[in-house]
Amino acid sequence: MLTTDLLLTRSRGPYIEPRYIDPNGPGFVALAQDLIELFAAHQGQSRRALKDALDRFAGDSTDYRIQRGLAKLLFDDHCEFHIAAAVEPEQLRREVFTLARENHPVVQEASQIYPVTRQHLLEQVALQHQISADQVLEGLYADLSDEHRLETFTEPTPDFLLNRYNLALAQAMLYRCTELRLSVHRNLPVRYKQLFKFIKFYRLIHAIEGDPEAGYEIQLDGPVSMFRHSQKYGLQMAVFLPALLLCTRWQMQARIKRKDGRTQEFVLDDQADLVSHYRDKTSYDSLLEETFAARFGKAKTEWVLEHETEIIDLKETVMIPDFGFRHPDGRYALLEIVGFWRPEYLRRKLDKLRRAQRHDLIVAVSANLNVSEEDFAEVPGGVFFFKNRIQPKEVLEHLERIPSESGVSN
Amino acid sequence: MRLTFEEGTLLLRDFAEGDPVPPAFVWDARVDMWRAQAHFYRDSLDFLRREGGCDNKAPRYRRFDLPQRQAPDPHPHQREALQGWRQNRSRGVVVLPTGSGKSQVGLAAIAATGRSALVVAPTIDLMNQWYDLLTHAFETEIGLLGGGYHELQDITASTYDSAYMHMERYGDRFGLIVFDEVHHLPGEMYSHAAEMALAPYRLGLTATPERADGRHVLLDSLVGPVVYQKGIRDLSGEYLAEYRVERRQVQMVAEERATYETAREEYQAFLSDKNIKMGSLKGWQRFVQLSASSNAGRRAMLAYRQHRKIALGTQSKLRVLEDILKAHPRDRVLVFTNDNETVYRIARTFLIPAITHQTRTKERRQLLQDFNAGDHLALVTSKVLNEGVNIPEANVAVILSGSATIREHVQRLGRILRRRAGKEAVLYEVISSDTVEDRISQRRRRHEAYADGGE
Repeated sequence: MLTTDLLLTRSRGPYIEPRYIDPNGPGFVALAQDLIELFAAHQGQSRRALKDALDRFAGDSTDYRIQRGLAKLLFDDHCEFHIAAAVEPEQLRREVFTLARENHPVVQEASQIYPVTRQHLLEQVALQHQISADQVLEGLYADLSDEHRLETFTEPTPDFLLNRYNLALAQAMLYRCTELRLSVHRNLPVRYKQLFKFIKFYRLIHAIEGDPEAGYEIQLDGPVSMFRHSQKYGLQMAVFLPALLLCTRWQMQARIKRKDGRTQEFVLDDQADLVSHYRDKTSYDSLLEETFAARFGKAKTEWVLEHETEIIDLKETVMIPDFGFRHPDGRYALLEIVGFWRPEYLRRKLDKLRRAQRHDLIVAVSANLNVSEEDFAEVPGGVFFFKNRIQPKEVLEHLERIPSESGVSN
Repeated sequence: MRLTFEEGTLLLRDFAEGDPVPPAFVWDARVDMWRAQAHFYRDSLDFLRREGGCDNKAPRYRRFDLPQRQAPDPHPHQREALQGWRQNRSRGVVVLPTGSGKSQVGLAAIAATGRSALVVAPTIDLMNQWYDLLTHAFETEIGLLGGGYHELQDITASTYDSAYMHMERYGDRFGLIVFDEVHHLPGEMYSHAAEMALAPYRLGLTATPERADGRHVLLDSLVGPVVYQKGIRDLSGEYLAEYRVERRQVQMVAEERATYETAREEYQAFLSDKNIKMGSLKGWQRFVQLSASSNAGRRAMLAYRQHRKIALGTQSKLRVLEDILKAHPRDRVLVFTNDNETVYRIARTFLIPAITHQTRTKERRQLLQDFNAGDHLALVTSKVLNEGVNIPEANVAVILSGSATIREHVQRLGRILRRRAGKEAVLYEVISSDTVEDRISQRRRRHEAYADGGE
């Protein structure tokens, strides 16, 4: 991640955006290549030597902040440093400073009053460890970050580095974000689930409006956001961004608070040239679902299975059913599969199903689970148990019971 | 109706239509509940009690009875400060100069309140310092939150950074929070640390409550009003050591002077070419702006930094430092300098231990202890020791270079102002003559502390 001083922005009226670089621009590819080579050439040398080399490389160039940003990413993600010292530095310091204490104050040149000099003391310690006085001096603070040696450098490609940089710029923009609005439209349930998993993981609070047809507006912030426009959650939003990029159809509007107190909007959408480095789970949740979808496709019925479903807002959490079903006459229903769950998940799943109070939500429960029909007494929609695979026939039976005036509860 | 603490806020759960809602609460449609910032806990609870009570599940702090062991007899100003604070329902800010025993007021407040307490300090050094004080004062395990530690106890020491990071989780765990150097608290970020805690009792300690950005007005709601205030003039002589100031002017060595002049000419040529006047903030901002948009500007900025660095860190200063160390062979000398690079240069040149923000907790504590015990006679440090680290034995301070902010300087002075019988303290200020540093020094001396104790 970049530090705020490395964030370069451009303002257009009420809008603000990072100054992205063109990852294919020959100038930037060459710059990235040069920096990568500079790092590679400094394996075995100190961090300070590498930093000095970077400063020299930058010279009087005006894009030094881009260079520093790229270097920051290389330092953080591609370098491993270690301490190189003949004697453990803290031990060495203890010896040197204790000796110096006995000869306080330490002088540079001998005189009648101070016959012992700094050089004498260094040599005395050096002798004990069979190293040179210069090595004592070098090793004295070998544990300081600047003195660490670059042990391994894993070279990225210029393309990877430049894309990573653009994403890091967008993330750094969100450090100062007080409110994040998302519009998502017809994404797969797995993507929604993934999205809300990240929202929860980064302890953000959501407010949702909309429906599967028109899409959803999701507002993200934190508990105290309603009292003050707080940047407290900016970092959480920044780490959340790569998860958003995994969605297929979305727009993002972030309110950015500037240092002078003014606010501006930072907008992004699925057309943005940003590459997420988070792992995407694009396939079905499980083989069970995949098989069911395939079998349902072959069933003789007017009901059409939809992969995009609804986001049921349960306020502190959400429920995202696995499938939607649409009938040409306008009827609509949802299917939730309660497959293989550990007891804790099962308890929460049941709680969600009860709270959702949806009559158009059919629940397919694995017979292997330690639950009975009684547990589902307060769940209003159709419930059935399945053994190894979900039969389209059973789902269809429940679908036929869906009244034509279905929709939100009751 | 149930009152709970969630992520730095208070929630009203299981309420019925028509239930009285305290004024600080706002309807949160995201979760369908009433929510308030945690620091309104005390007022809200008062309100709910008047209206017939509630099921209060919010606080998770403990009551305890922990007498202070070996509490020294308080000075009158310490006793009055504690009284003033308690009379204001144990909320408010105490303003006392560095060296007058502010920490003792904090310890007494913890003993008097008898609730789980958190002490928040600006740096890890100060957190460790409080850890030592608290361990000494109370017969209980002291917790640490920050500097790699994450353990809560009845009494816990922390830093502003960690308090800001973790208060949404632990804001229900403290009945009392002591904010040391409380002028740090009103910052945009750190103020969350006060707002996300429900602690009904709050004490702020500082020598210098004012902030350049004016945000100190927020202290009133975050901690409470100033309940007691005494300046350095009110206490000097009586409770603080006497001290004198000695200024040492040094000349740069010839080659430094040559590089200095070249660098100075380069950036000044750029300034006059662009018609920038450097005396004002505006001029500086314009310089920063222009320096990022042309190669010549960038060179001018680099030259500006270089000339400043030479003036602040000239080699002649190291020679003067050697003279000072020779003049105080049996004294305890603290050397302050602005940048870490110079700190380590001095450590390597005079073989005296260095403390910077990079020094690890255990080693740092050991070095300070050794210094107080006389196992080290000199320490060199950068800004990290600026605020109130307790080094009672130090009686000579050398400011080798520094920035002009008044607060920094007062607190550096405070280091050698610790009261000790018959002790005369000396403050050396070593500056390069006829340079940019001259002006910094002049600004610095405007503060009243010099007028009182100085030359």
